[in-house]
Amino acid sequence: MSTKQPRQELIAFASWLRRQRRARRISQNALAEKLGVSKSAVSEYEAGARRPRLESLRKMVDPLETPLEQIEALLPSEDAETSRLPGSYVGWTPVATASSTSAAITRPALLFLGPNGEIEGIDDLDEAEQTSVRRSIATFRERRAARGGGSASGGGAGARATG
Amino acid sequence: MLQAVERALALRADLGVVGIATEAQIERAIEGAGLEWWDEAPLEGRVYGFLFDGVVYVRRGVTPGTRLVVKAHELGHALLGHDAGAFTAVHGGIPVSRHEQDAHAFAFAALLGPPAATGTGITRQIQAGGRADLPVGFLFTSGSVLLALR
Repeated sequence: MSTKQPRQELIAFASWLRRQRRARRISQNALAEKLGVSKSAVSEYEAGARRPRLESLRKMVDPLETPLEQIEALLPSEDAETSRLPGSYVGWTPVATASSTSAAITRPALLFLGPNGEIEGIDDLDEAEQTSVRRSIATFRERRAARGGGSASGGGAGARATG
Repeated sequence: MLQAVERALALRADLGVVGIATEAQIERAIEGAGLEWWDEAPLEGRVYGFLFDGVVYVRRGVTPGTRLVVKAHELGHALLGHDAGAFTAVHGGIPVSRHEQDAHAFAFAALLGPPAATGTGITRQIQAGGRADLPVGFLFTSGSVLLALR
């Protein structure tokens, strides 16, 4: 049993790994042997206390019968970093990354917009995507102003009708 | 996380939702929260929606299921008070940000009802969502988040 503290960003992967291993009746010892790591390392992976190296992830593909892409999708990238930005925006972008429909994974990408709509930081969006966000905000504001003074009245139905 | 689910279930009760929530019901909740929505945002690439300045922007031309999920997710951000703080950046995979996890959990519970306590139960809910044409990426991701944190 690991004594390290679980890391929030690893919990989903840890839970998945534990379920997959148990479903295939593989012991922690046996999985450790296949991965070429210690049993305590596997225990820490399943506790969300430690991130496996890419080499270990690759070795999980066969015993857990899961494509590497799907395994990696459960983890933040190794260069993931925590950013605290003064934005007032959050979005999500569903992208099917797996080969089969049933295994499609959502890969979120977050934006951070400042209080006046300026994009202060963008994660994982290309220029066209960034431009489309700015254009969306500008277009909506233009249409709302054209409707009568920038009022948000009319609610969603009014907003939808402007499309 | 628990708070997000409880908030979503309270919303379902307020709206009188039985079964899978409809787009009209979620839109009523958006209006009730003092927000607007716009279904014709000219978004491109991987961006399907976002919440900004009291408006839920939804990409034009998406399927009704995706539209419904985007609205529920962004409504979650608004009702959970995520629109006035700082956020955690993530780089792929299941949402690392607590806010994103909460918004996904909110959307799942708002649309599908109380998350099941077991993997089998969650799987059934995912299947039900799939039959209702909700995006499979959302269903798997939010289901995984709920399972991991149950």
